[in-house]
Amino acid sequence: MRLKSLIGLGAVLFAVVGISMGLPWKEVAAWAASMQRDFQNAMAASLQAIKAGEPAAIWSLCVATAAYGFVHALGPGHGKVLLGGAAIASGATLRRMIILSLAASLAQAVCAILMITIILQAFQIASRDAVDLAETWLAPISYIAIATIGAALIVRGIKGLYRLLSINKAESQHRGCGHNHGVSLSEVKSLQSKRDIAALIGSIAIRPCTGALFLLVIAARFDIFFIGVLATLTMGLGTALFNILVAGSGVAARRLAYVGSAVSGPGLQSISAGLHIAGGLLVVGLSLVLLLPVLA
Amino acid sequence: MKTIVTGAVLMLWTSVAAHAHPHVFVDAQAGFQIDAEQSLQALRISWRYDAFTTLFLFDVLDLDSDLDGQLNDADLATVAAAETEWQPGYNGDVNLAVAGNKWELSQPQNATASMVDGEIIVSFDLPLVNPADMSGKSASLRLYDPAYYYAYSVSVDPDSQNTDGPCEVTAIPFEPDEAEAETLWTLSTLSREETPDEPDIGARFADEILLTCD
Repeated sequence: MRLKSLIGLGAVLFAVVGISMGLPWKEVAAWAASMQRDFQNAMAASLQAIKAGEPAAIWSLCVATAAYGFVHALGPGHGKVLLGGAAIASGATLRRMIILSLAASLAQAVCAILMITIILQAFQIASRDAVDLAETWLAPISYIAIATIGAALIVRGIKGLYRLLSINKAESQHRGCGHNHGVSLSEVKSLQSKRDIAALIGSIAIRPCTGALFLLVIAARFDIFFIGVLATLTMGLGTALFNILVAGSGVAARRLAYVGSAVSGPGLQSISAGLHIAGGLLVVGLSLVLLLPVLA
Repeated sequence: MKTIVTGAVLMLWTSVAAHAHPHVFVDAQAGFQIDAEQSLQALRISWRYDAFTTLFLFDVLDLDSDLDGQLNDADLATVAAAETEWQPGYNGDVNLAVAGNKWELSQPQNATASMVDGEIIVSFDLPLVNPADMSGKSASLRLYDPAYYYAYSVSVDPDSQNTDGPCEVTAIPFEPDEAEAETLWTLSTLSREETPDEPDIGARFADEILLTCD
């Protein structure tokens, strides 16, 4: 049973590493960058058209921002690492992960909207400084927050394993005494409490997307700020769609680990603890890769 | 130890470059100004910003106050001045090496700005601090932002392409596979004792403009 659970865990790690190594990342990134440029130009053209008095261009703007949000989410930030890692670790359902992905991306869009509304309108800070603030301070803060959540997942996993070991030890000491020591073992689960959910969404939302800031600044200048707000929200939906694909893959990977080992009781707990460690390591590792160049 | 650190930085840079996301797209043109004695005096650089960034610059630089979408001469002068007033330590993302040696560049001169099809273009000369004798040598010019916030694609400035002289200018576009192969090759050589002399890692991932003289 223990062996089976290890095989399941190994299969998930193997799949995650295999997928991330196997994909032609540089080609994907180059493709995403060129698409992003096209959508960026489409956004500029739509904004000009709206300003020139073509209300129908609102739709082309929203389509362009949604598409931009989708391809842009391939880049760092935007929470895909955290959502994917959390989906592997937490035992949250697909439905829950979809809602969380949507909530995180929309919260990130709202953060951009609030930042431009408050900072630019109220404090009259130059728009370039707002972008610098997001890139210089909020991005690393977000990476740190995300890495911390990853670390918390690892700690939970280790605690779960430790509990399991101490129960096993207690059982072996009492073996043969006729008593039923069927201790009820539950899986190690995360993302069930409000605190977990708030931390997850907050760590992603704290860093507004620079593309959204550009969009809002331009819209404010053209006196179509509320159209900019709408387009920022559709950008968030585009990002959410990409994150849902990642989180969904995480949920599927987790299911595979369970199916591969077909266990219950202590085995189940050891897998869920192991998945916490694996998902947490993924999140911490990838956040640090993004954070280190900032600190250096 | 140094080799290990360099190797780690190299790997990290590869992964960040692959995963970073640009926000500003720049179509750059680059050319060389060489005198009759085959001495490289200056570079000619132009940056063409994407339409979205152009609109953002309208706000940042407070251009187009009548909001007609057009830039007047005063606006263009503002752009030319603002884009070529570089903070200390900023090299304009312009990197020149002559015969393999990093070459110092001074501040931009003769800056002009224009707008074509809703995209701002800034052009300027970038003199070399010390002119470089190019006879029998080659120079490599790369435009890149180490943080990849700006994504440059670079082509040769047709105006400064002197085809009948002793020098030849060629563009070598960045190919992801080659850069990866080069990184792997560098990593494999790092196991030896010697360290790479110039680990300017970002340069490995940029378009290159090559000047080769007889």
